[in-house]
Amino acid sequence: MRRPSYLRQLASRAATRAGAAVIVPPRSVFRADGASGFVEANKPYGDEVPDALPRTAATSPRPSRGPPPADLQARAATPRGGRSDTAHAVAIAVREPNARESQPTEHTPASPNSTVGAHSHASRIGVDALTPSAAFARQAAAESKPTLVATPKATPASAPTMPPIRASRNKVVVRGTPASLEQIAEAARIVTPHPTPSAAPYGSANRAPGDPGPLDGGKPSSADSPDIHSAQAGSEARPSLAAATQEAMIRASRVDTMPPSPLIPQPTRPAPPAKPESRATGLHIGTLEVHVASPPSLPPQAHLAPTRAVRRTGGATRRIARGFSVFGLGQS
Amino acid sequence: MAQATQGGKIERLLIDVPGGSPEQGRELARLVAAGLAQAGALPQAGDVPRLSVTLTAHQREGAEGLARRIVAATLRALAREP
Repeated sequence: MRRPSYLRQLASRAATRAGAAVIVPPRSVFRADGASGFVEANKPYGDEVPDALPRTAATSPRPSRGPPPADLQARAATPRGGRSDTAHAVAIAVREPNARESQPTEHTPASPNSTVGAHSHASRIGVDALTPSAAFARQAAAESKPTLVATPKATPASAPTMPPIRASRNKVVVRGTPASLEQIAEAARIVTPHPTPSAAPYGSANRAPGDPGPLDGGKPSSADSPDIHSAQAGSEARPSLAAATQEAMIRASRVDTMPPSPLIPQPTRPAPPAKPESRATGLHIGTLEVHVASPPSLPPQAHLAPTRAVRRTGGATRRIARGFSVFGLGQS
Repeated sequence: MAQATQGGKIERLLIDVPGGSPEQGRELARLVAAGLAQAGALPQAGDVPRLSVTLTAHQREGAEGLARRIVAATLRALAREP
């Protein structure tokens, strides 16, 4: 039992956080073996082959050009080969518009049963019309170029280059730090998967009832890639998380650059003091201060009579002679 | 703010009476303003930013008597003003 890789853990965490540029498509309907994990597309093809598979099948010769033999078609369509093939197909699917322009006549119709596995993966991220021959041609291209860099069609040539998108079986991960938020929003708008029910047939979620599917034998056209275009249209209706983050950043920058609100009182020059009107009218007194002092406290009053005071102050020691006292005071 | 009859104007009147209540102070201010308005010795024009008058209260003196003494002191102070 392999442990889930760090990329899977990171993707599962980032899916629940805001501002993550990691898009995790829904899990595939069927898996070759649940314990084998996923194979990243940037690894050389054939590096990870399940041990349960015969070695000869993994090291079988693969032609690089020409019509694919029947065994390779079947191998591209089988779930075992479809695991890595699907990973390549997922990675190629991101640049499907360019590849389609360069090889418009490469598509050959095939039976729906042989490609339902690849389509079940590819449709989750916006790929259609993956016939065995197209899958084989892209498989050969993937062998010659292990690391796939997705270049969306909608990106103009003068636009800044997109960061490399590494595709795995279950994930499409934008590697590296984008140069700007516009690139994040552009990448998210291009490869954002739509929540389609896993039990729904391929292309039935975003396809009109009268629109034939890519496996109906018709030649693939730009209208047959509903997920890419409908993802762009849907992203306009429902702005992705990256777009919302971008808008929030733009609003924050606008707030920083906006002039101060008129509610905030502006520093104004103090108004000059009004000229007194009394110059022309008459007398003008600015401030009249009246201070009323309390009346002075009364001095201590001598309530006692002087004679008694003399007596008190004199005391017995200064008593005069008895005879004089009787004579003098008794007369008064 | 008190206003004289001859176009005189007092922006602010401060009366500092120790031991008095605010009601007594308002009554005293009203009496002072009325006394100044009825006085005929006010100058016809002039600008006095600040005028200060200080006097001592008498024992058992009422508000009317104090107001008359304040008006008299104010007129004397105004006469001293250049």
